[in-house]
Amino acid sequence: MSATGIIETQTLEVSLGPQHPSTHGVFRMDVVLDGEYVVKLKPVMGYLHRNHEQIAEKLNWLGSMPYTDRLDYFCSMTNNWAYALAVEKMTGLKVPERAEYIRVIMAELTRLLNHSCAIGFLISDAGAWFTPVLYAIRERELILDFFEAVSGARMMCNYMRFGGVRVDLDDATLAMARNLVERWPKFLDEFEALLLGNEVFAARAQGVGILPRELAVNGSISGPVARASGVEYDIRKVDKYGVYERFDFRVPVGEKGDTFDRFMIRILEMRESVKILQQALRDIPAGPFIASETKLRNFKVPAGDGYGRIEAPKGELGFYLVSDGGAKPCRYHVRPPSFINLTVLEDMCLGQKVADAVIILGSIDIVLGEVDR
Amino acid sequence: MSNILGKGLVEGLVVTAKNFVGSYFDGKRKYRMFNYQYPEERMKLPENSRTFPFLVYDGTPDQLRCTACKICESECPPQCIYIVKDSDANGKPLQRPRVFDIDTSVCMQCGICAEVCPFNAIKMDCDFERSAHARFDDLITHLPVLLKSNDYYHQIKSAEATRVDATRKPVKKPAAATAPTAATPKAPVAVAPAPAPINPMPTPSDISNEDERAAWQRGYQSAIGDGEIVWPPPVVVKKKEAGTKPEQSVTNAPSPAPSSGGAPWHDSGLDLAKRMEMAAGRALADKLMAAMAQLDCQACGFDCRGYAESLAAGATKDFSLCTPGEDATKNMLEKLLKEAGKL
Amino acid sequence: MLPSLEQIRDSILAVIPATVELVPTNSLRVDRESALAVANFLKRDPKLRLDFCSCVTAVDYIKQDCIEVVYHLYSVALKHGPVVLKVRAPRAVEQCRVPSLTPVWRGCEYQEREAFDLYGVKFDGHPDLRRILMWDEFVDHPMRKDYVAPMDYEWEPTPHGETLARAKAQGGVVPASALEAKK
Repeated sequence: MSATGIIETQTLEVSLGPQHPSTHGVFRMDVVLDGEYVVKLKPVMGYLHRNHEQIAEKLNWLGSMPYTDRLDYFCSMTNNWAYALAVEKMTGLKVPERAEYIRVIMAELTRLLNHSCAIGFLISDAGAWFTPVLYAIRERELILDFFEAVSGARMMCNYMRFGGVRVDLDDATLAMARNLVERWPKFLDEFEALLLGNEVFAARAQGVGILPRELAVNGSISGPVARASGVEYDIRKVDKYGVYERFDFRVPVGEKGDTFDRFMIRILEMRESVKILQQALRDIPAGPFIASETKLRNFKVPAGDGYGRIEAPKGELGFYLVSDGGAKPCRYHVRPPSFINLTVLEDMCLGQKVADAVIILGSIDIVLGEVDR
Repeated sequence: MSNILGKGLVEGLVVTAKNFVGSYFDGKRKYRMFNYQYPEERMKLPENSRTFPFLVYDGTPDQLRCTACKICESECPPQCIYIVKDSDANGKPLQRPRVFDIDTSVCMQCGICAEVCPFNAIKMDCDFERSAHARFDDLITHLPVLLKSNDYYHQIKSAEATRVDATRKPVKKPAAATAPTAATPKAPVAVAPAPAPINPMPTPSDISNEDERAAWQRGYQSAIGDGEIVWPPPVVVKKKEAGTKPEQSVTNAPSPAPSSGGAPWHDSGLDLAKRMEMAAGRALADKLMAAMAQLDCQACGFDCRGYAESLAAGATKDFSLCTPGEDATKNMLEKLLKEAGKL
Repeated sequence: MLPSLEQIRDSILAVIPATVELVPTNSLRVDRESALAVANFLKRDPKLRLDFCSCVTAVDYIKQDCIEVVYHLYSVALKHGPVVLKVRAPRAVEQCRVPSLTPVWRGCEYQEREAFDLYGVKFDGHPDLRRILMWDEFVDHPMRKDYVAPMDYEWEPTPHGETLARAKAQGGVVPASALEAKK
């Protein structure tokens, strides 16, 4: 869009970040701007690199579990589950039914708290100074109180163990969960009334940051970002891990793949999560909460490698583990959804204005703990 | 839905207005207002809530449950626990810690130490109001600060503490100042009576004033060993070829007690099946020793070799004293003793 | 339905003169030279259609003196997977090169950069091979098993065990001021 022949213009290189209120953490985008339009965008990450994978090689298998909480620090329960799933695949531990239901309840509550806050932060980036976020955070507080009653900590839960969960849910805590789930549809109605019809946000988000379907598949994009682009792929339905087959829920899929679609997908997924939670809380059986063959100390995994993945709120979270039969992993790798979803950030932002680059980043929903590990 | 421009905005503003006005009428915290005016009002924390660990004692601080077996030290993921086992004047190890430091600037409150402790000695506290003045030294909690009574444990976590009291098997320890002749008939005969400990454990709650406590703590530390904490000697690291990183084989498990005839199974990292395989075909005392948890923690009153020999000789009849070994060890000992005709 | 590994191997060998061996229980090891052709085949073959590259990892097998790059492939079109592809390269930094599969699956881009950054594996044909997690001026590849961290760890007030042993082995010092402050 530069005026040729009359005025000479130059492109401007701006570093958005790493200290920036809208980059969702210590993340930097080097953008080259022509006026306000983005000509080139290079993400720069690694500011939160904490060497999680190398630390895991020095710890025994259980010792990495508290560290997985700190990967995607918003969603500690799903991180724990992905790691426990990978180890259970390699050892063949059977998880009892009650533990599977508990895991589903924790994972869907995590999805609720992640999506509500992700939408809230996206709208904050668009300029609605914190009202939606604080409503979402208010509901999130109730879920965090529930997590504290169950596992002892609000965010860094360290709750899943190989073969089950760490402590059982008693009836009082289950009642707490039921109250929570009863409140949630009302909150969602209010949230939708607040945001959905809002013309300002629609003008800002519709048509912005379109991700074509073929690029989403080729770029290994997963989670709500991919589904908003029309990729009908949800690991809960494809891999059928845990007891997800027993629940009746739909997978919302978008059409255009713009920011507004990514926003809507999260709202629809929250409604589906509430459905799953209602079914799980109704059907949870009695029984043991951890496999009897599991051990806390001297836990060894047979030699070989294994890849376990789940549908985390942000996308496909996978753990690739290599064992030589010992008490420590030989290789421990995290496949982080946020990191890989950033592959297409440049493609989505080219030709958009720099203000749009900020909300496109918000709609991908990254957490730096996961991007950098 | 009609298409008046601005309708969506107005709907949103109605929601905001409802929340704003409604917050004035929400005294019971049912819907919109959840704030607690801390520190005047405090929320009641759920029972499971955990922050940093503490050590439990029953009755008086001398009767702390910890035997310095060092399982928590080896299992702690960020390695924030540092334990030195106490020993008497002759250098014989006693079953309690002389130094037990937790570096709270490193501790990530995961609770794994409390999960793996076989003696229910270390539990997670729920006190979050901790602040210190200095960045490094004041954030290390030493043994006297960590010791809290079982009554305190009941106070903060009553259901859990009751469960623990109902299921734990107390470990017999020599009492502080009295001679252990008052011990129960189960006390093993082979052990010489333990002398009075070097540093009697004071009760931290006796000291109410912060300056006094600090002064006492400094005095305690100088009593340990002339104001210097004695580090254990560095482990000799086996070097591979020159230029490559030497393979670190340092663990925090205690070094094995010297045993006659070699005891390759004396490694707490091996599991029971492997240890029994290593001891197959050996004498009864060797097989009994292989069945134990290999920690030399003296929960049974001996080190591992001593307990095995005492059981083999028939001096000790009780085969359930190996607390870290739990049921697996107990069943194996019972099986071995039955096969040998000792039962 | 995903064909068995033997069937996949046979269908690859029917088309490409590669060296493909089955690694029990779940992966195919391909030689470096034909990795790109095999990848294209796996993506385009109508029975497989492995269009989604989920995870790219490098593993350092110091005992076998090689670094292996592992690709986990799934199919979004046919909803099956995974097929695990492994490519080996020698450990020595100058010889550690494999072809990049980014032209086939764009999602490998950042993950191959990470393998280069942390393991030193060079990917030929990668559009933008530079460090991603470590800073640009960093030397050496930190996740290799023989990497020795420099002696500038943040001072830890209670060094014990491995940290203390390493400090003493490398000539580091436990500051005496730490001990004095406790008096």
